[in-house]
Amino acid sequence: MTRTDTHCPYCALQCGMALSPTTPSQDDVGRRVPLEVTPLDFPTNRGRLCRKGWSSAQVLGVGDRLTTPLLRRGGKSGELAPATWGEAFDVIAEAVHRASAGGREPDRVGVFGGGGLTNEKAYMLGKFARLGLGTSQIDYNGRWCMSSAAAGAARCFGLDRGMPFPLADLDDAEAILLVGANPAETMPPMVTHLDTARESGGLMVVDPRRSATARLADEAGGVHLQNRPGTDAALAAGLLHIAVTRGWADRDYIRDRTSGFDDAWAVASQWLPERTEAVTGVGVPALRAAVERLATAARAGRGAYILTARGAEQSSRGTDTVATWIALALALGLPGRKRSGWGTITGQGNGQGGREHGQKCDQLPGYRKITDPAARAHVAAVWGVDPDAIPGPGRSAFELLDACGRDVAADGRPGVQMLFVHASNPVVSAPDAARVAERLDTLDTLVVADFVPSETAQLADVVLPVRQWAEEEGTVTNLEGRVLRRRRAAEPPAGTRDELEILRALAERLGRPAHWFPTDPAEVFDELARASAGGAADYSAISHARLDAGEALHWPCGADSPGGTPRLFLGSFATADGRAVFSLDVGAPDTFDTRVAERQVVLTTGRLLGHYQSGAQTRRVPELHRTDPEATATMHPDTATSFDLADGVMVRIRGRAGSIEARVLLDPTSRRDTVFVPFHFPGAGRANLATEASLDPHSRMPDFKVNNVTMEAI
Amino acid sequence: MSHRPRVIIVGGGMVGARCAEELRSRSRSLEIIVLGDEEHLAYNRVLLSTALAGSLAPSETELHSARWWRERDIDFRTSTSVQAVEAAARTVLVDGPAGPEQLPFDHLVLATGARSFLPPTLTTAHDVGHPEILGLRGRADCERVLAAARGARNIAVIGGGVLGVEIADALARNPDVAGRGARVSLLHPGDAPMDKQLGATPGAILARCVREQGVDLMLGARAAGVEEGGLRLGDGQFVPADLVVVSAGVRANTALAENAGVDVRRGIVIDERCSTSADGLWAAGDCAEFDGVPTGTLRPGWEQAEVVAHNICAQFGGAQEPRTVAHRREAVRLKIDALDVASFGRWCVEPFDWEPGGPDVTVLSDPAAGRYGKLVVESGRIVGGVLVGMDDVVGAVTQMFDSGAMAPLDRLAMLTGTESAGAGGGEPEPADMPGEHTVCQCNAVSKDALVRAHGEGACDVAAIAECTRATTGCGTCAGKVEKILGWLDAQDAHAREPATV
Repeated sequence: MTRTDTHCPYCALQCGMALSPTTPSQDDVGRRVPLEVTPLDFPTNRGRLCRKGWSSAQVLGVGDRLTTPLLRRGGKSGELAPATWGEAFDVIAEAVHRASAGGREPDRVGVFGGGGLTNEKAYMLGKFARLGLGTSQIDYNGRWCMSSAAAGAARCFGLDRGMPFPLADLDDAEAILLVGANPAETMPPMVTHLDTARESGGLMVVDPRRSATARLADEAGGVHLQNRPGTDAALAAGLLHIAVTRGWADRDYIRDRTSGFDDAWAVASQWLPERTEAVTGVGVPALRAAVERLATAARAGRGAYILTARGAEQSSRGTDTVATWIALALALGLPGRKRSGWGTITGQGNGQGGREHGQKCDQLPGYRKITDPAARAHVAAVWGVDPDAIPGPGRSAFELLDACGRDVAADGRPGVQMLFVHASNPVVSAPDAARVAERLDTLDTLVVADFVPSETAQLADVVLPVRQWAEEEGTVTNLEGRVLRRRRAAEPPAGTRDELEILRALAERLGRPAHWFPTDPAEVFDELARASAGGAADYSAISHARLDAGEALHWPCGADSPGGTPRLFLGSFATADGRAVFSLDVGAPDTFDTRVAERQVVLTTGRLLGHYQSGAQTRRVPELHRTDPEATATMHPDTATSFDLADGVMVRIRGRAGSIEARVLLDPTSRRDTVFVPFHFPGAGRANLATEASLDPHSRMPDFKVNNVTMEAI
Repeated sequence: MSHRPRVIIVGGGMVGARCAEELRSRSRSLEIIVLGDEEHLAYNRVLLSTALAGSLAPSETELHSARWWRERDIDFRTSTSVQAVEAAARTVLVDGPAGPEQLPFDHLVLATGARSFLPPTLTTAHDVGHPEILGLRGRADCERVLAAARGARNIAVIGGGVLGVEIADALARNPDVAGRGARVSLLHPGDAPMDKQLGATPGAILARCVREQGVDLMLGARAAGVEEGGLRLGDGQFVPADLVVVSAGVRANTALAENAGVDVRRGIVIDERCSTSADGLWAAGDCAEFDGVPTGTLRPGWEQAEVVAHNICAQFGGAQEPRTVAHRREAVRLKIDALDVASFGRWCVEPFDWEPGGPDVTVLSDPAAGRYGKLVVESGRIVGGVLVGMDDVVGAVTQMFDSGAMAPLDRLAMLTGTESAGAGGGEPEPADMPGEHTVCQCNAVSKDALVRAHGEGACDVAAIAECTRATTGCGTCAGKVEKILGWLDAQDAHAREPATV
């Protein structure tokens, strides 16, 4: 093979890269032909890569790559042992029959997907669940990533596309406010798009940690708003208050393009700067400076953006928090105009596409509501089935996992006895991880499709070895809603199979027509496109061929918009009346009790530069593992002192859900009431052992970022 | 017929409104009546001084629309005053647009607030040619001040407390006032504005700043009387004024309670459950006094409103425990743009008062730069302080005070902001950099790696990138890499120089 242009397997920036075969070095003895990575001058990364991207090809040849199906023999206490594909499929088909009582109780079988799957696989996984298994029980790990931003954007704009404008629009913006986002570590090449803002002193970062991005802002004369974790909505309301009282609100825009301002102001008017300061810990001067820079840049047409990310979104009040930040953007007149806007920075590689094509429990392809009869009829017609054959809405991610192994779940409905897991590692990434592992362990049958023996795969009864990004064809949709081609650059290892093939084979065993489950990615894409036609995320005018011809296509790209839609909402918003909605619910005015209990700090979790998600891939790359080999607990030296801890000692961090073991890392820039633990590590170092699964009522997002904990030396 | 319990709230201000909201959020069945004697629905009083600056219309201070109150089934009556409370009979006599009326209640919440105090020397009858004398308490006051200020040539603000400074600053910024060349003077009897909250040095910094904003600050100035065209001061000096805004403190509105036989001192006396001395009568906000201290500020008032609502509902709900006020302290924050000022708790302790076991006082005084910080720490917690011009630390400190969190161990580093500047900021010079120092974070490239690459012939950033991947991530280290290359080149040049003996 020669050079292949594709995209990085990791985050939603989807950096353009070329993969070329290279001569094996001594390190590669016994492995397949390694690939050399060359960054491409693609609009999101412009020839840059972080160390994850540079080393991404190494994951293809890791030593413990799965190349044969594994079956647990001898019951739950038995070992996983190699098996043939035929044996594995037989065991699965039999287990489906058993768990679903011969098909009478299809909801006893669940499917758990991932935001790393291509659009084609995400689509087909949803179709497999609904038609192959007949179950409503499908959701995915993006529920814990983008769901609050999605629900907030849908509420306020009538449509959720992470960034409603191309990333490159940020390039010449003089004011950019990043809320709970740390791109300098989570997606470094994105930082090039912040250069103008940085140089203008207009880069502003809301983060309880003095992250690499916060430092970049501060060192360039920008603003770091170092708020107490969990106070993002109050902060947004306080900034909105200042915008209005200082006369910086865009009254014409509010009148012409929005609804609900008066009710929003009734809430925000009570968020006086002094109260906002006491609650958030951000001083009034910084609050004022942030709003002033945004408003000044917006008024002068010099570019003003507010971008939120997981720091603000991953909470049980995430949707309302996002809506409050959008309200600030609306008050300043940013969304739906050139050179300004609100957006969310999608995390997972296909976090955007993964939430559009039917992996979510409440959705059908094209970002259609599964409860909408017209949507069901459209998709049923494409699938060639009766609309009644499509099950209704299922449980959200955590609720689905929590229903595992239970005869009757917490919601009173039948529990789940069998679960398929694709492209996800919930044993590490789920909130209340110990409980989730326990639930998975009590399943009749757990089937995990992965390319490495992840912590979840190690619990499985059946492990299916699948292919990786550089071994497959397909598409992903990046953080700006642009559909990209992922291309095969290497021969997959013998013994592995593509998930599209696996789903067809399983469907056949379950007695479903094989033609429901095509395996050619281009053909699957065409079906996905038809299923999405007329939906919110309309892909119907996109094809592999158009993408291969080099076209830049942002959805919606359908009959009305064959050239794609790089910028949304320029004329009107996607709500019924075309107006954006102010929605401001900060919580009861005095629920923000800042008083801290004795001997407690707030645990917040997040990413490190060198690792991705549960770390199942990046922990296997020596150069990444070397730099960040274990879970650390970053805290202020004063905090360490008050808990009798010292730099480098092991600490047990105990929350209501459970406790984490991590190594203390002192950082005098930390807030004294906050401890940070990255979530990439397995075993006792799992940050999610102490995160709670209290769920957002709208998005069903758990609380990953704010958990009260105590600490003790081990 | 089933009896629908009725709660009457006397006072339609921020605390009364909040109490109504809290009652409704806890109970759908209560009948809730709010009696406000102003012509407006509840508004945000705190914003009135902002409105004087002209960036916000007084009408925009409204908290909720009439529709909002209607939708929540709260009977909010404006222009309705309460003539008398019959505590034993549980009725109030009200007078409103519909005429006098006797209203029975099950519970009564007194949220009557406070009124501006006008010194007797200024309360003489208004004569032709005399300046107009106004307080600033309600929205109507604000509108009157704005209307009068638009035509005024000389405006005198009396009282250099927090509100007085804010009023003077706002008027001096109002384009309709200062923009016309009108003069704004601020008369304060003390040696420095806000002297009761700040002390000498910070007060002097504030005084300088207030003057820089175009306010004619007159210290040691007591108004002795009103004359034609202005004010006569105690020392005989004449201050021309056609508008006088008085901000000389407030007095709790307690007359209703007093006449009803309820215990009143400076305010209506409430216990920790916010109950007055009369059964079924509650009080909250500026009209109330708890533990010998009048409420005075908004957040404790809101908390009392919430406690009252909870405790009233608990009586109907049965099982719930009564709630008590947390007695929280609040930082005083001056709302002017030019200088950030915070004063909180027991600030008035001087460092030389220190004795073992007593409070620790840390002071950083830099008046030339307009900065002053004082922290008073006792038992490891911040119990008081003053921060002037300390923009970078004020949020962290006031939150620590507010939350009762442990104080920093190194107070001076906290005040100077050096603890965060020390870490991450200030990249060391190439020569001082340890070899393992990470120069490129994105690709984990150390100084040693750069030195090696340079030794192998990589002499510019592009070659370094090719060789080590440094600068290829976020790209922000390019400058540092260049600097290290320059240093390495200089070293090489030095090494090539002939050795001198």
